[in-house]
Amino acid sequence: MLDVSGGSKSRVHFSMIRQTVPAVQLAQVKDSDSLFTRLGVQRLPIEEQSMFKLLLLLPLGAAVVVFMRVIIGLKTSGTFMPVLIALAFLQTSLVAGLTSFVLIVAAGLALRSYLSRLTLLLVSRIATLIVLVVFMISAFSIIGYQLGFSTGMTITFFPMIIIAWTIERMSILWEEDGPSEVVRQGGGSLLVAVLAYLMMQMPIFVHLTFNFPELNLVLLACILAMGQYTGYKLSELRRFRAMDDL
Amino acid sequence: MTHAWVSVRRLKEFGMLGMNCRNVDFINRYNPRRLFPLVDNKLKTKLLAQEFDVPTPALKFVVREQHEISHIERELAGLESFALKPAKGSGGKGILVIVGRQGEQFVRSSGALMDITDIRRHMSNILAGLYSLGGSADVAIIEDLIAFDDCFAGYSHEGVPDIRIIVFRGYPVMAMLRLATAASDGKANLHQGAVGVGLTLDTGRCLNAAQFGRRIKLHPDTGRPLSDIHIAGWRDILLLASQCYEMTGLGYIGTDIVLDKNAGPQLLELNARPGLAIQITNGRGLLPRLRHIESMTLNRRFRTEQRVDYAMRQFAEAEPPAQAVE
Repeated sequence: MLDVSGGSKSRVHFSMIRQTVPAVQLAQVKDSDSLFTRLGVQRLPIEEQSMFKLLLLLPLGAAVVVFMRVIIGLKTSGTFMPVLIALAFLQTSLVAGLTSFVLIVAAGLALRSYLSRLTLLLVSRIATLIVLVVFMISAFSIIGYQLGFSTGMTITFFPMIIIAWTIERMSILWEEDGPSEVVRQGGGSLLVAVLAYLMMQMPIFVHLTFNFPELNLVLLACILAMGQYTGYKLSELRRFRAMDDL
Repeated sequence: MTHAWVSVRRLKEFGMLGMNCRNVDFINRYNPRRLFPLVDNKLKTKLLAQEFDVPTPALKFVVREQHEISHIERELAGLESFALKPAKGSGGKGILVIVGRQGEQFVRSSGALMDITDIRRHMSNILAGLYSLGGSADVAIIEDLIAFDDCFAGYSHEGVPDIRIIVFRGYPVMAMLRLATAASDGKANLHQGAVGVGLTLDTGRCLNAAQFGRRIKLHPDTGRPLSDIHIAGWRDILLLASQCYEMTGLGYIGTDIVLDKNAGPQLLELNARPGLAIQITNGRGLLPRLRHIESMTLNRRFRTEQRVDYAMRQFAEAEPPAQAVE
């Protein structure tokens, strides 16, 4: 029912979100008002629910990172940077997110090499990078929009401060260990990010983590178990290969 | 013929220590977090070493604030040669070695020339935390240069060779010599391409050698056979390493020692998370030795000399069996 009298420039907003609800809960929601139903994530306003959908996927991403680092032994730049990238991918779609991320970091590295000639203090160097990253992302979004890529706008979801730090770390890595190490660690981070993304976008996991948030405790148990693992990493079977020819 | 992979069973036979096992069973268990700053900060290590009469290159002065850099040439005036280091640097990053002067210019160990502006920029970067873990603010240390011992002539490309000894609960358990190469750009850092020479714990002789994780016999730049290496005064070096346990209280440390022509063995720095590559250069795993020390209950009663003698006896290399002659 909409009733307006003498109003001008009035606006009407409708927010909608597709939501899945466990059958039992659906039955209960109709007639009960107990503490448990009040505490459910589904009772939150819709904007917060969509945020929670992402938030509850984070443990899955974190578990992927722990697995790749502890069991496989992959090097990533910045421990949980891959999870944040994966989170951004969820909003941009994989290909668009991947290309824009690589473009932004590459452009940032080029600008950073100019900054290193200015001999700035570290804090102001990072701050400068943040400003530049904001400009770059705006530019990419506008250009993308004008070219008709609707995904351009969603690049803004990238965690900018993390990107600025990534650029700074990569450029130091470049100066000290050469471009090959940059490609290796950057590639490792992206590989973990893509894997985390592939897990986090699977409908089954989205469904389970949102509707049964307590399942994240199972992930927590896995993470704790991996934290106690003292066996060899897969990468060490290669690293110690010289032991075979004694 | 080196295979691309090695089996878990084979690694277990050797008792190779893996990264996860090192972190959980040794670093977390024997290195209390509150003691880490003693070794992560080279200035603290140096002051501690002086207190404990452990020989270390003499500290000239410390630069703590950006404004001191503008008139740094006055401080440097009396120094012909020196080493400039970030106190919290890791893996040899940010270390600048000046071996002499040429007029206004400074001569680096690589032969490259630097002027005072370059040195100022380098100091400013150090103070800003470019080389420190996590980018936290740092101080710059200026110390005496090592006059390195002639016994390594022909074994090192530019850089100073150093001896890494792993000390577990005060017992030296494994040792290697690290030699800089052209590939490592004069740095004694294994992952950058330095040669690691595993040393016998009882005599300080070459046991095995490796570069980039592969076995080698000759120094890649000079072609000298690495098997001839024999370090004189070995017991004194082990004593110096073993003393670092009392000095820091850390149970599992890597000690980096250099040999000075005049002053003998000097403690360069300590590491609370020593790397695993020492096992490749030795061709031996660390685990059996660590577990042996761990199983000893009375080790606290021992003095440094007793611990070193025990380790030299216990971890002595058996003579290779003589070839039967037909």
